[in-house]
Amino acid sequence: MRAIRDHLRRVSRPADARPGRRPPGAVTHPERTDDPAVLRWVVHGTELPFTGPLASAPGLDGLLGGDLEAVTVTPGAVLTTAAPGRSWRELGPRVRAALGTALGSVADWLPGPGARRLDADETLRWCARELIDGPVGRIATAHGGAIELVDAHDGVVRVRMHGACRGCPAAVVTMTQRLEAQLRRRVPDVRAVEQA
Amino acid sequence: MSSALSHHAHAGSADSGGGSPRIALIGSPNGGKTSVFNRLTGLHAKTGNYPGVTVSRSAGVARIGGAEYSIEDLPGTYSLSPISPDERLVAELLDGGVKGIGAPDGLLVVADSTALRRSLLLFAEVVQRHMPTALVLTMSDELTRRGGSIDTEALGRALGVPVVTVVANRGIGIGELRELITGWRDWSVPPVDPPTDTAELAGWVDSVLAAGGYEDPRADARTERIDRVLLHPVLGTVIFFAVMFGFFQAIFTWAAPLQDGVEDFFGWLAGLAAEHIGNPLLSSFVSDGLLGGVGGVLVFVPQIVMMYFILALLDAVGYMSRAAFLMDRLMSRFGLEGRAFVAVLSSFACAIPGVMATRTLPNSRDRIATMLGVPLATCSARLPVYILLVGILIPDGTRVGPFSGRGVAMFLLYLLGGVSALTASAVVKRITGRHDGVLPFYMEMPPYRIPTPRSVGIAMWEPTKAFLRKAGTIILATTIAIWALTTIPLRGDAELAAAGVDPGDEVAVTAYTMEHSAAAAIGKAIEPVFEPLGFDWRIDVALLGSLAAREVSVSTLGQMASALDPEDDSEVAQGLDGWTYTDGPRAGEKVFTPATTVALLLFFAFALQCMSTVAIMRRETGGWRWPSIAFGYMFVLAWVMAFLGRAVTLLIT
Repeated sequence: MRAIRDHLRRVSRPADARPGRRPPGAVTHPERTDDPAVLRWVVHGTELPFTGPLASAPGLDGLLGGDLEAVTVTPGAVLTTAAPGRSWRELGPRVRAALGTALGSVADWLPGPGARRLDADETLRWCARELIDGPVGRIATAHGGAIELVDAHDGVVRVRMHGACRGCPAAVVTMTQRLEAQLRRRVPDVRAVEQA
Repeated sequence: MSSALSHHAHAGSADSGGGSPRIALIGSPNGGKTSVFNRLTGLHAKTGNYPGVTVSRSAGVARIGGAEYSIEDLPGTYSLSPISPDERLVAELLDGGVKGIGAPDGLLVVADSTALRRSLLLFAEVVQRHMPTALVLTMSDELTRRGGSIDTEALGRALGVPVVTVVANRGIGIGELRELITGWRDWSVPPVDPPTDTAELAGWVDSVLAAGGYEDPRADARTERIDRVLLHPVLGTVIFFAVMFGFFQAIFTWAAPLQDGVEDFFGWLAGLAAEHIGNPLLSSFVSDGLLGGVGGVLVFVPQIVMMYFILALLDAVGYMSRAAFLMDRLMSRFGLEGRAFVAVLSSFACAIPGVMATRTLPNSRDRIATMLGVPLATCSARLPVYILLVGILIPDGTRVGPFSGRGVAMFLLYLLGGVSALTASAVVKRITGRHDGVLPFYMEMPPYRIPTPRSVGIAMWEPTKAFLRKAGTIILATTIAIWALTTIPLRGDAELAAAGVDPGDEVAVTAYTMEHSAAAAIGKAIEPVFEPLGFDWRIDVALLGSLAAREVSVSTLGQMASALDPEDDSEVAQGLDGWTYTDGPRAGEKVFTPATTVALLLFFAFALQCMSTVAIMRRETGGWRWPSIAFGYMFVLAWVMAFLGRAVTLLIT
């Protein structure tokens, strides 16, 4: 009993609240997309083998074609499309478990038609495009501006500002910083986001 | 029972403010939840208890853009799979399972951003309730200071609910939070519940934090440096005792002049009233009953304000958790946890702040155990009684080695108070806890912070206000009742003269009135109960009087001993020394024999002769059950101890 108390007291120090060893569970969480039928499972710590539709993967095969209409692999995330009439609340936990199994053996994933492995520049461009079309671009739009992706090469992403953002140094700095920070979380070897 | 239910139902509908949305704040202890609550509600919070449990409830109203929102500050909790009664209550409340209080409409999970990992575990449990939920991140200034960071917007996307960042004690971000509350209907429920499986949950937390760009803060260097000293086994203990000595001094000594001031002021007012009110009954009622009662309440205020000021300061700085940590080893021998030490210590000044200090205990079973023990500690109200009785018992000049005999007796009485308080708590804990499993001890060591005057002010003012409002009414009523019992009916001059009492001799009149009062009748009626202890009816009346406050017994005895100045102990002692039984088989025998004096001392040491304490226990526990148990067990204990003390004294003298 004393041992339990002592143990818990040691654990309770804030310094111990950090990750020690990697837990065995897959490091993933679902996010909404603009399409309610599509859920985006963000994956950390596992490199996904290709980008494009998934034909088959251990664990997911039981759902593909039934509860799941489609599974699409992107850099750093897996998009799952529910079959009509399915609810994510009910389906979600099963997809999570299946994805956990699948992420345990990505080498066994089979690509669907058109799926292929992206090179470094393509991956960078893909991720930048996703952020600009998604959360970062939405903020620019909310402030009456827009961001255009010019190119992505060798760890450097170049963008162009339009609308209210153009010519406003503050907007340029916050937008590029925001984009760079979020991009770096997905593509660790990004070097800079620059204005074209 | 039905009336209790309807009362709570009424309280519930009043809380919802006639249909205004109810938003509950849920989060771990020390996570900044109460600061957020105070910012949202200002000083319009109501505190009370949840029905049937000793878990305090605070609810308030936030007015945002013309609309009203009921904000409820739920007890601090680490988890919804409850291990303590407080956590069980939070879980039941979210399910709408607490009688008279419906489930809240929306939930604000308040998370300390410097310990976000742990808070997400609670968040994961909360969103599984599928209620509109949003996350409030607190202490982001400290996260930044310690080199951590978080992307609020990305975190919100990963969690699937709105997230706002606040620094509640400086008011930063409160505007956004208020804005967020107005849109509570749109707070989203994540499409998929977070996992419940431990491994999956750990993966989910890591993934969410990675997506939110969360950088863990460094361990606080300043806190680590200070802790090396303050938690040092030897140095830390020495500093702890120095702090506690200062604390004790402050509430025991520094508050004394203020208390004297309050007492003098009311004495002066009572004098004025006695002088200027012609009607003797009205005059006596105003000066002795009303002003005596109000003064008897207000006299505790300096102590309470002082105690809460120091407690709030120590807590805001972060020292309380360290003190509790240092004392946990000692207190655990009595089945209590470290935090209970403060309550026990405070009760040496007065049981009222002691009982109120039990609020700092996170577990209601510990609160009850401590609350039932602390009234046994030697409070300052016992001191005048002890001085009087020890003066009678031990002749001046008696020496025990190099020490004064009276000093040693006083020390032993203080020791007796401390040991019996802790022992009683241990026994209560044993009895109430026999069906419970082991409760893990979880205590956080928050980093040291510089407190804001606002937070300390609120922490100090809230309990003081509660004391004045609730205990005030009960103490006042009791004082007036005792005044009535000892004073009514007033005797006319003719009756006094017929009985051979000089109507001009105030002391003699008081003595006569008292001897023929309702109180005397009660004193004589209960004489058989105390007869085995050697108490005569006049001591019984003094015991009745001491129910208002123990010190009252000194003046009651003084009044009855017809001493010239009832406030002067030495004269009271002389008067009592010559006291003999007025009637019965022992008529003419001396009352204050050593055996009776010892019995009376022990009776005062153990009995809960203090309605103020009973009142405050009722307030803190939300019912009469625990105060009745406390009063009952202490009465039996006091009687038995007094009887044994008398028997032993008779044997050795």
